[in-house]
Amino acid sequence: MEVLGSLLEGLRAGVLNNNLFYCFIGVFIGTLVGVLPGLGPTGAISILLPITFAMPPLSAIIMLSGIYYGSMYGGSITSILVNIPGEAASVVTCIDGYQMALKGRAGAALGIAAFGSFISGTLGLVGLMFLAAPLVSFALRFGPPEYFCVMAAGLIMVTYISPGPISKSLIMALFGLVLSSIGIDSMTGKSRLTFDFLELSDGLGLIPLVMGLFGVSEVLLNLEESGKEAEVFKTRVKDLFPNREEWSLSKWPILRGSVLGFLLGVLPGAGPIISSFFAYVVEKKLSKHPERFGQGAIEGVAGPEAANNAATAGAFIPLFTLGIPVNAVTALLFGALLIHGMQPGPLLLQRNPELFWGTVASMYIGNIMLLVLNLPVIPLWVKILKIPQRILLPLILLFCIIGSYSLNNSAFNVLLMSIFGMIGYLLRKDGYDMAPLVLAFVLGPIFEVNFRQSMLLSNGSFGVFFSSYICVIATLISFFLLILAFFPQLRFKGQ
Amino acid sequence: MKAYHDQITGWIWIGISIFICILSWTVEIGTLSSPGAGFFPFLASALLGGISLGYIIATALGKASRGNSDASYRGFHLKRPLFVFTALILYTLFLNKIGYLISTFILFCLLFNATPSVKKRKWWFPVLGSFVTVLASYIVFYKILLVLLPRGIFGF
Repeated sequence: MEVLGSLLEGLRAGVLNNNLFYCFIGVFIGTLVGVLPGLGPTGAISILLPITFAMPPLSAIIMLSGIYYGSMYGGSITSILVNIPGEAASVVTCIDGYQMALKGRAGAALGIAAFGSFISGTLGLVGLMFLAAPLVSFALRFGPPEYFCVMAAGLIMVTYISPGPISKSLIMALFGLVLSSIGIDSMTGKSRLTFDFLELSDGLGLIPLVMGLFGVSEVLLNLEESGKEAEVFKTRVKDLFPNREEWSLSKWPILRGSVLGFLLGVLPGAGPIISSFFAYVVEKKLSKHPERFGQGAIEGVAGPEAANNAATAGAFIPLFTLGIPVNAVTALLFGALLIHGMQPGPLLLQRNPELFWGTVASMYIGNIMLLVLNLPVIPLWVKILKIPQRILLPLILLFCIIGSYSLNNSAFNVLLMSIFGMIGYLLRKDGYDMAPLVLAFVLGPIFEVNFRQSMLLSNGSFGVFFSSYICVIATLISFFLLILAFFPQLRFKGQ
Repeated sequence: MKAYHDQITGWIWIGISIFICILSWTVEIGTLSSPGAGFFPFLASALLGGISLGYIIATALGKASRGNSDASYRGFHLKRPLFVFTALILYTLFLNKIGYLISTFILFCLLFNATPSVKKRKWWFPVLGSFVTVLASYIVFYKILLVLLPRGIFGF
């Protein structure tokens, strides 16, 4: 009952102060970046972060989270119609979605993707509402050692799940920690790694860093391509409402995908990408006719699309309750909350309940908006797909330049952004994943303070990281994952 | 080819690690019971160096793990990215001196020329495209959203 009361309060906050408008802008931009291959939600949020500075905190978070879950909807459109995933989480939708389109069922595939996403997004929010409060009371028991161990486990999980060799992901995470320590030390007031640049005294800015790593590097990567534009499937998209048989085939995959996606979304690193692949595998295993998969099975669209949307709701749980981001997007939302003077973590729900419940309520509204945006206006999204790169790439760069300059009217930020753009380009070309770097950079200052406080408390003994059952479990998970990563021969054969 | 390339990047990481370790040492490392300002970056960069060394050895022994095959390696085509990067660096150096309008116009003329296109471009496309983009961005950001943009020596 208390939850429903809070949700009603959140709904009230969600529609006040132009929040409904910001929610619409968020889901619209989210769908747009989902449709456009290349620029994902991380890039879009990093480019648009400076725009939110003038907004109230709730409006900013409503808009930025709208971009996140909106991109999951948009990604399926390109997967089904063009066989190009607009978003990494929609890769698996290409397999059966495009086959359905070739067989004249593009409308049904798009319809089930939108309805499945809506149902799972809504179910995921129910989970977020009911799990947040118990987790907050659990997180209030955390001291510096517990925080350090849980953050370390989260960071190691992200590096473990990242694509490519684990060594490269660990290098990225450690590089992120080094970058986060630039500036004046908060405990001693000493300047470190600033190279006598006054602009670096406050540390490296999150915005020039992420704009460089995701926005500028994306432009540089695309400059290598031939400039060939996407070939859109030429058919009239009709019958967006799936028929009775298609609903009957899809209802359980949607429910299974929702539960699976939500649970995997809570885990650091797993997120929408892994949950969509996992949901596909589960549906194929459970199907009485697995041979239909890959030939246009609607379950192969419904399950993964439900899973990737539920995962976005799940990812908000550790962010809001523990103050721990689980992927690059939630790391940016974490940074946005800090910029707006909010400290994500267990006290957020007590001190700023309107922020949490307002965001949850806006997600309900946003899911309805997305359903409306995705079904009747699909032809518009298809047209947007045809925007040539020679126009799109300079525009992305323009937003990055103005965004980073406007932070404090300094060309130094544009310089930093350009340097990180080149670094990001070289690293991404060489197979390094940016998620561990951004996560480590955002968590770095809190990670360091908790580590140093733990060492001070224990008089320099590492035994403090085994002093409570939370520490022991988190430390064992970290060691277990590191051992599995470096000695893959120890993995179970069936894995 | 990929293994050789990975070894070179591994050595670059080791170089960065040593450099940061030295810088952190000069700040003050402190002790385990009372870590100083340089302790955390020192620890992180030392681990960075250790893992990079391990990675170099693994690639030398041919034990590079998941997703690191030669097949996925497409090499670098630096010409256009390097051109745009140099243009961006020069842009930041001259932005405050010659102002937003002129410097961004020049940058965008270069960018529209550098972006890949299947169709043959008309000569006026980069000039007109840059003019429209810069003017539209100036009106939206400077006039409407009141974002401060550098005016430069010409006063606009």
